[in-house]
Amino acid sequence: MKRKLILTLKTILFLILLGGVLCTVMLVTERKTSYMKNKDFFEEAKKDHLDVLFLGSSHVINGINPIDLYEDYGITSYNLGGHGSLLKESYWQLIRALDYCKPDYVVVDCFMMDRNYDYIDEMYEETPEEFRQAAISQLHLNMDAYPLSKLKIAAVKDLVHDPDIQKQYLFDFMVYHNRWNELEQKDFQRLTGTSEYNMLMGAEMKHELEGSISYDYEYDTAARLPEHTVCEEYLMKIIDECQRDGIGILVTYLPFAAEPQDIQSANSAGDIAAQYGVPYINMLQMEDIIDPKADLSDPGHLSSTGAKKVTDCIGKWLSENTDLKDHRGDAEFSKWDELSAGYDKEVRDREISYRLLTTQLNMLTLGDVSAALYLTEDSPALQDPWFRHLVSNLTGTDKIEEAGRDHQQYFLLMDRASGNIYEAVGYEPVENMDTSMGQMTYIPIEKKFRLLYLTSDENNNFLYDDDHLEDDVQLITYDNNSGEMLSHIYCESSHNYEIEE
Amino acid sequence: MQLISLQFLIFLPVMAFIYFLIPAKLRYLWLFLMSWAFYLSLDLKGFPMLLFTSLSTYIGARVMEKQEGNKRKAILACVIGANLLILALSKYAGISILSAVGMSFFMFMAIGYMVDVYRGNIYAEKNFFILSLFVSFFPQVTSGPIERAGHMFRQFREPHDFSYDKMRDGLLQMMWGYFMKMIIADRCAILVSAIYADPVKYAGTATLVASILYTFEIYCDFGGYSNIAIGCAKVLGFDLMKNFDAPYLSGNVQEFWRRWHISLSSWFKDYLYIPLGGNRKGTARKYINILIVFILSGLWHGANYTFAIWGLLHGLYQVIGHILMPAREKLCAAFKVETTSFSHRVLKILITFMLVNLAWIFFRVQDFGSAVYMVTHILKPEPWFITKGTLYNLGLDRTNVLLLFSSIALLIGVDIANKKGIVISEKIKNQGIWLRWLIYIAAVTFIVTCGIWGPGYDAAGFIYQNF
Repeated sequence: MKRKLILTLKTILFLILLGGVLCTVMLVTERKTSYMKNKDFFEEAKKDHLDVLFLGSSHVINGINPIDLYEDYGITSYNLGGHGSLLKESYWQLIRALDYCKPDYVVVDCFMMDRNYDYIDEMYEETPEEFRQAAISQLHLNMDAYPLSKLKIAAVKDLVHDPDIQKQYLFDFMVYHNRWNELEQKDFQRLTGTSEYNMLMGAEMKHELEGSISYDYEYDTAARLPEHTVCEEYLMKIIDECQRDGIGILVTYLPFAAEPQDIQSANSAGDIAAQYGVPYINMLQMEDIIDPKADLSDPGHLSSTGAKKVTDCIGKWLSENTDLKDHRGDAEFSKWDELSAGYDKEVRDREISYRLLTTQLNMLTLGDVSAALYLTEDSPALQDPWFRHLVSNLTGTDKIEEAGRDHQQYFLLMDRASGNIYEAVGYEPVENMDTSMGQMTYIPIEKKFRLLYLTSDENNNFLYDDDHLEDDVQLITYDNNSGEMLSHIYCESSHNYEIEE
Repeated sequence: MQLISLQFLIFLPVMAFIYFLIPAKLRYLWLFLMSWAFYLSLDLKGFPMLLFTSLSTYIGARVMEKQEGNKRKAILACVIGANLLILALSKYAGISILSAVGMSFFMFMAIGYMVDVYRGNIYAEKNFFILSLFVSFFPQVTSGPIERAGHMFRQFREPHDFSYDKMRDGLLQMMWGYFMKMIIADRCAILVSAIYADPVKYAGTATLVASILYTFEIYCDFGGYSNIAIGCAKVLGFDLMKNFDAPYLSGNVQEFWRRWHISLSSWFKDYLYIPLGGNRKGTARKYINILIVFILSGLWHGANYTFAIWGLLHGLYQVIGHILMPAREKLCAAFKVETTSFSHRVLKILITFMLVNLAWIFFRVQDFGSAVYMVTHILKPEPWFITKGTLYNLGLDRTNVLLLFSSIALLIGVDIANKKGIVISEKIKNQGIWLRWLIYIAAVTFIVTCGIWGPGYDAAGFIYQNF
């Protein structure tokens, strides 16, 4: 009897140790994207810090920045958008999230409301297999971080048809154990809770621009989806759920280079919102809300500057139409201030230096640093309408168009502290420019030689460097207040605006 | 539910727990029910075949036992004939409605039982549930080992209590089986499938590597399965016969067959080779009997003539081996080769391995032409297949290939130890508790982490399950 008891105890102890080791391995091998995306959600939800939840697809992930919303309006929110998430997934995302918090407002975006299929692993009959696989993989972002529960099982069963595929969301180690040979430091840091995670309350900002994106559709207000879709059904469920729980809801359609079915979806979403008597912001119809050449990172997704404009639009609506509290200055929300400072620094760093000149120029519109830009008369950038557009965004004038048309060298100085903007085309000098660096003078001498110096120190020419004779673009940034020079970028614009390290 | 599945890892402890809780006399009924449930979960449409084999052998043996002379023989022939006919129609005529998972195995066990009753070695089983449990016992129903009725009936009838040592031994054996299957076999399968899918695209070294990896794949797949089956039977307190015994360390092909798929080899020996006359009717007849047995053994695996060529090759290896034996002995004597020396034994093992390896090519290929291409190109040296990294672009990256080769080295090491009579599991059991537990936990963690399983891999299927 005694032996039996000892054996039983030994077995139990062994199983506990084995279980502990296996749990550790599962944590280490787990793909971290879902953990990184949702870590702050669980923490902030627990503290009841989340007043607004954003739901939708990657359009929401890249298009709404809770940190900007906090900084500008003091509203605390979390971006629960999922890559490739249809409204059906957004519905389940909401239901799961409501298990952890009760927000005052939910903002749901309706992109892809035209999709009319039940299961992400089946889609339409003609859907290519790689699309199905991508959707199966993307759903992990929404699912993995949530512990196994009846709700999670119900969500998985509603979203995925194949029982074999369902299993990978309920026991994700079956997928992730294969990561054993690609483990990185951050995978092991998961054990100590020190691994990196999303610092934008679920949002992901895209700073880079793909190129000039056309955005010239004619908005047809009469267009409607030809049939009632599964996603429409789930938008209604989301609204129902919020109304039942006393949560305010705002329906949106964020801007991008839309196709005809998107316009149909946008109008149909408006019909549903009207039917339920809930507010709707259709940004596809708001022509001036973004500048597609600078605010879209690709045809479908907003860049960080676009996200700032869209977030501002929603922030303005929320502050004007709701009683949401302004949490700025509240010591309990100091973490939000820290995250804001971190994001501001990240943005400023990109304004000072980035691997793509076009991205850096676009970021400079945010105004955190001052800059001087010079282009030689034969610069290919001058003949690139998109580049000229980005410069025009900075100056608010069309002077660079003149330089491009006449193949003349171009100079710009933008001093944020004084608000002064100086431009020169051809051999036109600009003397005694007031800047935070001091009074400066620009004098073009010849094709490959020009002067930019402090009026008080003529010997120090900022725009000449023997090592960079081939570079046709120079960009100097300096601190708005102290005038300290922060970077001097040289670029051969014919090389896709890439900056050499 | 496969032996390699999460469901099975839940099924086994639950059913074992209940098995030891219920009264000893009724345990066989629980096993019987669970075995049928296991089979139904595996192959619902094949279940009628399992039922037919159980019923036909149960009734046939009971009736046959009461008869004398030719009637007895006729009943034996009828039952065996009916089962073999179904097997043949399913395998060779491709009638899918008659096919069932593991039918070659459970039918051979049933046939063995009929012959044993006919010979008077055992009595016909009166209890249908015992007989049916023998045919459908869940660890072995899909791929053996092909047990003997006498050995199993006794165990089913004799109640045995829970044994901690047997459970531990069984779990250790299962773990080794999972290692062979999930770490080695399924990794080999990725590379082998890539090359065998279009062997003409590759040449020389790639062909050689693929053939050698297949040689290990089939051993680890089937040997792994056998270890899991024997191990989980042991957890329940049952001893199943050994099915593999370091086969690739054999010094000749005859020895190989004493170590490879032992339950089938001994079945063929007991129920075919000896009835054909064995070696009692002269040398020529012995050779013919060997060829018949091996060709039939090849065809047992499937309808494709490549299986028959595989069997024929093994038969020829042995016949030629016998014929050349005097000459070989003379040569060894003339050159004063020490046949007991280490180097000579290693050479014999390597030659046997390569002969077996050559035969496996015919076993694996889809058509004869591919086999001929592979055999004729196998020695063309193209080492850049490895040095240029092509090997790492066939579905397994460099780390995985390294893990595979390290695991094969471990397998060989363990087989060498086993052949020398050193049982690694015993050595581990003799260690102090912390080291022992460390080894167990590390092994489980290694297998579940680095094993090939989960979505994207068909790791759940065993090669021999299809035969």
